[in-house]
Amino acid sequence: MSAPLPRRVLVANRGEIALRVARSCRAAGVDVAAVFTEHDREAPHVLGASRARAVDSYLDSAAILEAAKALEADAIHPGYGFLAENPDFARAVKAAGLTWIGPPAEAMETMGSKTAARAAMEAAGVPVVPGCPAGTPKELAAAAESVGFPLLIKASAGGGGKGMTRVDSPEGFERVVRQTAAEAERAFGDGTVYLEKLVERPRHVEIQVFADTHGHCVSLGERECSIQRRHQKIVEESPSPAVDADLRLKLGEAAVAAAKAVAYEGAGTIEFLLGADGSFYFLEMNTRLQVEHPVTEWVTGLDLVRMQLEVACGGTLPAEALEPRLQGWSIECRVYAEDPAAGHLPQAGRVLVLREPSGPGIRIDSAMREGLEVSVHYDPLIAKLSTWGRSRREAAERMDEALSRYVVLGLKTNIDHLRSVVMHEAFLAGDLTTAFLDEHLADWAAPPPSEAALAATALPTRAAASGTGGGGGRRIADPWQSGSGFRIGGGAS
Amino acid sequence: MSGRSLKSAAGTHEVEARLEGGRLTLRTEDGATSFEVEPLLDGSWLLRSGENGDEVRHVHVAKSGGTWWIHDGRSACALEEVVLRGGGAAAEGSLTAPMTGTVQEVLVAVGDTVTKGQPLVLMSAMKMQVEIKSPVDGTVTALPHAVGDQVDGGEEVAAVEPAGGGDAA
Repeated sequence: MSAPLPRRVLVANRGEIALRVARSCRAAGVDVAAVFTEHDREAPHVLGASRARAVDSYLDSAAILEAAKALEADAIHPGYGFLAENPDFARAVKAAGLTWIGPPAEAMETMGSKTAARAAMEAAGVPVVPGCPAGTPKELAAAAESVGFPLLIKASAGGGGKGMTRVDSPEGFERVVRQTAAEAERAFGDGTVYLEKLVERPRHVEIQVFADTHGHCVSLGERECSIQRRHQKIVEESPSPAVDADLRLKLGEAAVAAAKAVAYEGAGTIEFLLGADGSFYFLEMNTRLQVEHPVTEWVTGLDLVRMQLEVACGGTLPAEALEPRLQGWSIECRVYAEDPAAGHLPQAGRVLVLREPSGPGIRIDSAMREGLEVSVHYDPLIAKLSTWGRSRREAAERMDEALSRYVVLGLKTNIDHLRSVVMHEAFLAGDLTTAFLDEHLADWAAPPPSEAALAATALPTRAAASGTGGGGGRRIADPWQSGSGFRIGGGAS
Repeated sequence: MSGRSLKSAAGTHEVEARLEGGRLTLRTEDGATSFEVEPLLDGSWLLRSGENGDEVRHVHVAKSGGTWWIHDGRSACALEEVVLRGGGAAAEGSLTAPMTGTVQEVLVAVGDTVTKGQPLVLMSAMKMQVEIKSPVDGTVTALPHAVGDQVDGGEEVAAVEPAGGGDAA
């Protein structure tokens, strides 16, 4: 069933996701309005909109609501990040009489709280990591028997890998509990500890779910996101090499049960830890469109943003979503301005030359342009490059080829590092864990410059050429002020 | 122009690169290579090499500050010219900001004697603190930025004249 779509959507975001959302809106005949901060005055997402208004921050919900009113938008799409998972904002949008293109605020609230989410999932029969909340050492020892070894004793106040002890057998268990509690008391001023089953060499697998307001809730298959640095995903794919049809069905059923448990609507993602033995456990739900949604779009052929628009307006899920057919394989790489040889240190600077690859099975979600700056103010994501192939191997080969033609000059990027990942034997074998980079590419170094590159230092450079009638270079000088160098559409002479 | 010392992520490269009459010649300690070059309208270059000039590469070059950014048709690299200072003694490592940020603290003064590894300037960038350390034992000769200054990546934040520069001269 189709429902009338909004007339104009305000996209309350920036960067590639704002452009991506805008594309589906315009294709559906929906006009697009943008907001921008002072750093983004000429950003691509502004240039692609029909109306735009300045705000102090993409987190300023009052200013964004005001902008929606002033720009005469009747719906708001939050993208991901910023206000996307803010239930108060979702409520305020609805209270202002606008359509909220996102899940219900209550679902966000439940899933936004670790304890509430765990309780809701347990009640819905969704597997959570077995464990035992706080108790005396004796109680925990009894619980440990049923949870099984190895397990972790964790400090309630800990986090980020601190305040955790691995225990492999019941011997001396109570003593270890007391030790961990004493350490936690010293380190965090709180000696409360609990225990949790240790999932060894876990994979990070997530299910894309989609629900409409007519009782339909479906799984659109899984994504594998095990390759991470600093707990941030850099390579994602769909399907997962670790998931067969049987496991896909189980994961899908658990994910749909999780979404239904919170009366979910729209696009959401249920993240699972997948053990080597095929056991899986609910990790969290992301109540928004996910960064890596393009791989799902590749293998399902669906436009998830278009579906978000339709569902938010009361439409039903299309037939292709109700019975999705997964075809081929898709891989996404996140191209970042960062130095992979120096701990993935973020880089800032101006993009002097940009050539994005294209071709069969290649998609770029980018908000970059020559002359634009990757600033210190926002995430240094340059683009998401995704490829599709009939097989995983073909998708990986297309990725490597596309990355080799991806020209980003002016700052360091992780392009070569990504090539090393997707062409690594272990990656091609599908042998992925969240420790992949540490296990296989800890000593990664940039390849040495070729003779051609060394020789090219004698070539006149674009910046120098622009003064002699080039028209190339940085293109940031005021054309009305600069001398003979500027010529619209001009090239090197 | 004769020899050039270029620093890449993989190390330092002593090269002599020359462009003459549409021919690009590279001399390294391993020998000489030459390329025929054709400028393209979009500012990039076609490099031909091999016996009959039938090996081709599409090369993009940009330069900012002392750094060349080059895509050789297969991958990109950054090449930084190693600046010669102090009577010809090469300063290993540069005293440039690793990325755009703000000067948080200047820890030395011009004229100070410093030792290799000593922090000179403290920068904050991307919510991280970065220490700019002296690459050599020597004397601070320049500190172009004050606390609070915004500094671009690659911009000089300090200069140190190596001790014993006189010996090398």
